[in-house]
Amino acid sequence: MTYPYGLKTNPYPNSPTPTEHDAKILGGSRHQEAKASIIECISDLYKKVARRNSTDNDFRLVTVVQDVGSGKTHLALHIKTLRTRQDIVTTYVDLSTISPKTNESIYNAIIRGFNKGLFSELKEKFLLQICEKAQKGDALAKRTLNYGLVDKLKGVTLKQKTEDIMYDRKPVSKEALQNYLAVNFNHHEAAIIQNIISNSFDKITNLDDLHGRLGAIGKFSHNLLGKVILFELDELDAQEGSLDFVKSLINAHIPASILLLITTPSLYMDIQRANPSVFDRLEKANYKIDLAGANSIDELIEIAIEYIKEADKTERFNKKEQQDLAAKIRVLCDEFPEFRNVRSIINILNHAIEKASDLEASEITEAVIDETIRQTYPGLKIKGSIMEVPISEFIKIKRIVGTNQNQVKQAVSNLVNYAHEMGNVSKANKSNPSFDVVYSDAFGTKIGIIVVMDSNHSKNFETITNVVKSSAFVDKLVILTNTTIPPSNQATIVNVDKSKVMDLLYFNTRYTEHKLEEPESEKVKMLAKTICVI
Amino acid sequence: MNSQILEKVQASGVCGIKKAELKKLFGSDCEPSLDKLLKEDKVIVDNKGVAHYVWSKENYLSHISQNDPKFKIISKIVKNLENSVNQLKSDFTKTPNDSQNSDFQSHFDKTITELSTSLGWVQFSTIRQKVCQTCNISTEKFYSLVLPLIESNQSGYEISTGGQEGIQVRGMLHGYVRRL
Repeated sequence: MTYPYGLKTNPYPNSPTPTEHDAKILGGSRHQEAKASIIECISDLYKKVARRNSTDNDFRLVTVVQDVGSGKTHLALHIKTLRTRQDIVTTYVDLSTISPKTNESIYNAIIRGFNKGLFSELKEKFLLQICEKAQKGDALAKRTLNYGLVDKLKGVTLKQKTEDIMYDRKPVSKEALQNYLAVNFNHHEAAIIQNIISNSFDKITNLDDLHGRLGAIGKFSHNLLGKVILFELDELDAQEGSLDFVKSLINAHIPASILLLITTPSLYMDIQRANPSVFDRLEKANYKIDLAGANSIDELIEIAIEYIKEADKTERFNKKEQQDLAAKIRVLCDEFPEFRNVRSIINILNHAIEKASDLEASEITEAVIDETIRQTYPGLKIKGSIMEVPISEFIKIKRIVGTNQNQVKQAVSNLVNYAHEMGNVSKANKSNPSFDVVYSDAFGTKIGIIVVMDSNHSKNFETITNVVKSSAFVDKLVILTNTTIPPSNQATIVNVDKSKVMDLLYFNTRYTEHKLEEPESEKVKMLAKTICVI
Repeated sequence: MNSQILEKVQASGVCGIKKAELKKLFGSDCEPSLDKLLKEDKVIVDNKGVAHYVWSKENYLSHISQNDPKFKIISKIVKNLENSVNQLKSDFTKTPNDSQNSDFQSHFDKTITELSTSLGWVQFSTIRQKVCQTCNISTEKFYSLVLPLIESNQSGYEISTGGQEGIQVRGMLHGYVRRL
């Protein structure tokens, strides 16, 4: 199967929420700025705790507040999957998947959220420490490794016994380990080491356990692996369980760690009402990542293009193709608020790439977008269009002409030609330089039309003031304009909005290409009526 | 015969043609045909000086517009009246004018600034209460002005889902807004 732009696969994810795999690509300058802020926070903390043991001052709070579908989760997962930086270890927890939200259930989710590699590394470090102590003659350490006289006689080394446990070939002696840890570590640290070595985490029973154990993980990650911990809690809501947990975690100041809280403006406000104490803490976060403009059209375009650029191994997706796709996305987002959001634009582009592949198109053409929307958003139509302009034509017209006064003049002239051909009006043979088009209606009234559609509205106002002086030459003067002006006794002012312009330009294309068909004549008549041609 | 007479009358333009000349051209038999055209409002017969002249409807209107001062005045009044009616018709469907919009926008922006939290988000319902009171407008009017304002100013405002009231976008209720 071939995909447009010479791609081997569809670069856009098809899941409604991002996965870690999808999050490897992060496009958009706002999202990149947010990423840079989080990385700055990590680096800042890392520098502070480097070459010394961490204290409870080494804790940072970061909040990310933005609307649904704006790429917050994507950003959090992207940070988690960063391979370039070795100085963080991240646990990602989606609070919406936890019910009921208790300290225990959230703690379990946090432990599950860590990469398995973290615990393997720590296990190795702990066992090597035990081995080292055993080699120095520590009897408890030797017992922990199940090292006895028989092993010594057989010539088995302490290192070999340690590796057997490290690679799960032999179990550790639980009782001996407990005794060893009780002597060398505090209660919580001992529990965590026991859990890590035995590859099984037991339940916490109270808040003290929660803080103590998370603190122990933070301390070991930093002191043994030189890493700071990033706790990512997504979908933070105003439920009592969530807020109690967050408050206690902030108060506990887990050493060498960052707590990243992700929520929406609506839930952030709910938190303000539900628990002012937590809200006050969130307001004083070290970094408040705003993601303002995360759903702006420019940002969406950058994100959309980044996916193809990343997947384009042959570098076929050149500047021209990028600009071309950007223009199509801009028109689409401009007209349809439905697509003005990261999740929605990624979704439609995922479908569009598949459709382009089905149609064997070498790029995402207007026709591909039209077909895609027809299938995935069947109810979507161009707003206010009398001519029912197809989306593909809409994108083409918007991209080619924009709102050009001369194009509208030509369209109006052709609309009068069409009405003349249909016998609704009689167009004058001679043109009159004072008007864009002159004709007589069915009652013999001589009508002159002038199109005043400049983008400069004050210029339009001046033009209209001048053209009404020509009203004496016709029985009825019609002024088509995009400017709102006061009523005039000498002319009929017709306000031509975006949808009427689009209808006129679409009609003009169909008329000049001789593609107008019978069923469309009624729509054309309606269009002519709305702008006072008939 | 009718079409020939009509053609001749139309060809004679604004000056019209003498009835006597038509009789000369088409014979005295043309009288019933002329009567028929007259009944169908296709031609007009009127005096010019002492003679009877025949015009087509359009040409007669041009003729009296040029020569009859009374008609000139009445025609002008009717034309003005027609323009006024058309204007009223188009005003009826028109959106609020620019000055109203900018007035609303300034109140709207000011209220957001006054009520905004540290992140800038404000509930539409709170803004609505204040703006409706200040501008003396209804809730419906408030939202009918808010929607186009935000739609036409996408880089100026950001909206977010949630809340109890607000605007519908992508089928979701957006109850929060902030200025960018």
